[in-house]
Amino acid sequence: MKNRVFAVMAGVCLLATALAAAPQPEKITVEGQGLTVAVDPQGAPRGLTAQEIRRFAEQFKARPSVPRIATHSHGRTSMALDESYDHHFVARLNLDGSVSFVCTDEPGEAVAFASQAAPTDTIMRLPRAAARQTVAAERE
Amino acid sequence: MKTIRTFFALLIALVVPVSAFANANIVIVNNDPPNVGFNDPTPAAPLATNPGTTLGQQRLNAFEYAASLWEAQIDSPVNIRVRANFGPLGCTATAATLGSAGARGIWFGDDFREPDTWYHVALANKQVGFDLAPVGNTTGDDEVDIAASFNANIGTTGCLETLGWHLGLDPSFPPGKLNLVAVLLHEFAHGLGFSTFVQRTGPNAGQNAGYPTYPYPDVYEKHIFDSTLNMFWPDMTAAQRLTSRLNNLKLAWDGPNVRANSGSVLGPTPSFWVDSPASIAGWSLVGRAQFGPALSATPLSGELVQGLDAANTAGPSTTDGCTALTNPAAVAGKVAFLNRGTCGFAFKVKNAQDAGAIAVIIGDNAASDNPADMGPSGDPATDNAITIPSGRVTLARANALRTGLAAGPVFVRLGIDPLRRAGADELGRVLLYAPTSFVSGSSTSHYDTTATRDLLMEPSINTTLTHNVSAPFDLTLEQFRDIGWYPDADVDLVEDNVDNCVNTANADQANYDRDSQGDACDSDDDNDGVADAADANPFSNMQATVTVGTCNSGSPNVVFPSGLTMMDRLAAIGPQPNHGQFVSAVSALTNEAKALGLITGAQKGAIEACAASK
Repeated sequence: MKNRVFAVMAGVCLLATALAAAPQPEKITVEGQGLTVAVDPQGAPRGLTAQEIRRFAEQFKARPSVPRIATHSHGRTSMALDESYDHHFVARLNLDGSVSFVCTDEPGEAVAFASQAAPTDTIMRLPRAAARQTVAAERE
Repeated sequence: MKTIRTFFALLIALVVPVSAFANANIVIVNNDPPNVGFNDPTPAAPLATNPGTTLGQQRLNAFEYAASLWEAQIDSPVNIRVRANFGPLGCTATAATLGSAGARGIWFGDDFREPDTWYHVALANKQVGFDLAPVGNTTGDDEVDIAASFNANIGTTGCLETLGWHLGLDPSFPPGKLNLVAVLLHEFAHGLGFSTFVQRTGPNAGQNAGYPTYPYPDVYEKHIFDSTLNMFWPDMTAAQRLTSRLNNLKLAWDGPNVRANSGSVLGPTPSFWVDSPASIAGWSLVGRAQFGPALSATPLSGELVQGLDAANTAGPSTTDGCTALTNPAAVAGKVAFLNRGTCGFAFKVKNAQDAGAIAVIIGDNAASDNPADMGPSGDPATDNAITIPSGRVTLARANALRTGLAAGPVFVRLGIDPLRRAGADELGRVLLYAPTSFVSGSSTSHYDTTATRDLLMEPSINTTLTHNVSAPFDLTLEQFRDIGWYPDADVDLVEDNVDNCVNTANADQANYDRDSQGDACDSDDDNDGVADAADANPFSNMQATVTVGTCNSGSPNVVFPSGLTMMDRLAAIGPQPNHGQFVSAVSALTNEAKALGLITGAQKGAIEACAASK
C-alpha cells in the first residue's frame, strides 16, 4: 500500500565485485563472534545455511516456562521480564541486493525472517539501486 | 552532559512540536565496558546534527536524543531508567539483529488506574508515583525499566556490510543508512507501553501474561479489538486470541485518543469495489500506481473486462498485457483486468490505455495480505504517457475476479474512500498489524502497514518518519495516552485536564474557595479580593452573613482592608470575662466597620443585637 522501497544499497554490488575479483572461501569466520558469512564462492549474497540459521537463532533466549512473579510488601505484584520478552529489530539482505527489516518479539519469527533469501514480504526494503531516495515500490 | 542536553533541547524545538509542559526524565545507563560501544574512542568527524567526536559519543548522543524526544512528550514523577548497550549482536553477512529492546517488568496493583491489569513498569511507576523497583532493591526486580541493546558491528566485515547506522540526530536516511534515532524511538516505545505480553507460542500460547497464577490482561491488550468477533482480547479465549492475531485488517486499536486523532494523521484509503455479481461483491484495498492520475474521491465505475494480448517473449501469457492488447473492441470504454508479471506495471497500463480502457486493475501473482503499490517502469516516456487510473489487487481478490468473469459481467469501481482512513477501519479505529501466514514478522504490537502516512510503530522503520511521535504526524503518543500516560505537567499524579493547578504539584487538589484554581496556585485562596501575599488570613471565614452563635444577623460578612472578614474578627475576640465585655468588644468592632463604610448603621445594630442575645 505504500512506498516501501527506497534509499540506496550500492555497497552490495561493490562487495560482490570485490569478493568476486579473487577466489573466495565459501564461508568466512567473523572475528570474535564465531559466526559465518553468508556469501557464495562468487561473493554474491545468498540465503543462510541450516547451520547459520541455527547459530543465528542461538542469540535468542527462550522465555521461562513459569513466569517470575512476586507480590511485594507494598501490595503490588510484579512479573520480571528478561531479554526473551524483547522486541528484536532484524535486517536481512535479499538476493536482489535490497535489505528488508522487521521488528518482532517472537524469536522464531526473527529467525524465519532472517533465513528467507528472497524479498517475498511487504516489509520495508532498502533497494540496492544507488542514489534513489524515493524510489517506488516494485516495478513489475 | 548539560551541554549536550541543551543542544538536544534546541534541536527538539526546531523539529518537534513539544507537549507544553511535558516532564519526564529518562536516564540512559551506559552499560558498555571501556573502549566498547558507547565508550568506543574511535575518532569520528562531528556531524551537522551530532557533535560527538568519537564513535562512542555519537552513539550515546543518539540514545540521549531519542530519550529527550520522549521526555518532551510524556510525564512521570519517576525517573525512567534505560540500560543501554551498543555491542555485538547476532550477525551474519546477510542477516543481523540490529537492536533489541523491551520492558524489564510488568506490574499490577489495586491502586492502579485499572485493577487486575498488567502495566509496563515505567507506566506502573507513574501510576503510583514512586519507583516500584528502585536501584538497590532486594526483591529481584530489575533496577531499570527498559533494556536496549544495539548492534555495533553493522557495516563491519561479515556483518551486513552494506548497511550502517545514521548517527545524525536529524530524521534523514542517507543512502545505505538506517536512522538510529528513529529505530530507538520505536524500540523505546515498545518498552514504554506499545506492546502486549500475551503469549504467542509455546504451551501457553494465547494466554495472558502471568498465566496461570495471575492471568490478567495487560493494558495494551485491553485496547485490542477484533471486528470479526466483535470482541476485545481480554474477553476472548486463548484460542480466539491466537486466531485473532492473524485477522488481517480486522484487528484494531480501540482507544479514544488514537481514534480522535486518526483522521488528522491517516489519509483516505485507495479502494476497489465490486458491485456485481453479488457472489464477489464488496470492498477491498487496492495498491496505488505511482504513475498516471491519482485515484479520485468520485470513484470511476465500469465493467471489468479481461485484457488479452499475445503470448510472446515480452510476456508468456495472454493475460499479462505486456504487448498491445488483442481485444481492444472488448476493452474500450471498460476497466481492463490484467495479470501481474514479466513486464512493468506501467507498460501493462499503457497497453490497456492504448486499447481504449478507462482504468486498469492488475491482479497480483503472489499471495499477500494486502496489495502493494505499483512503482513506475523506469521508462519516463511510458510513465508520463499514462492518463488513466490503475490499481493492484491481491492474488486472492484477482482469483475471485476471474471466477466472476467466467460466470458473467462484473461491474467495479476504483477510487479513494474518503470515509475510510488508510490504516483504520470504518469507525476510525487504527488497524494493528495482523498478518496471515503469508508474512513473517511481528504482529499485534505494531500498527498495520496499510497506514498512510507511515507510522513510527509499524513493524518496520520507514524513511518518511519525522521523529514526531504525535498527531498530525504520528499516533504513538496518542496510544500512550490511551493506556495511561496521561498529561501531568506537575507530575502530581493528577491528570492535567482535571488538575486545578496544572503546573504546581498539589496532589490533594485543595481548593478553599472552590474556584477553578487550587490553593497551591491561587493568588487569592479565599477569593476575598485581597491577594494572599497581603492577606492577614488567606483562608478567611467567607460565609455570607455574620452570625453570633446561632443568631444570624443578616448583615454581610464584610472584608476589612487587612484581608480579615467580620467573622475572622469576631472569632478573634475570643472568650471575655463576662457577657457585657463581649458585647462591648463586638460593638467596638462594628463601630470600626461602620467607620470604614463597610456596613450601615442598621447592619451594625443587627450584629450587636445577635451579640447581646448570645
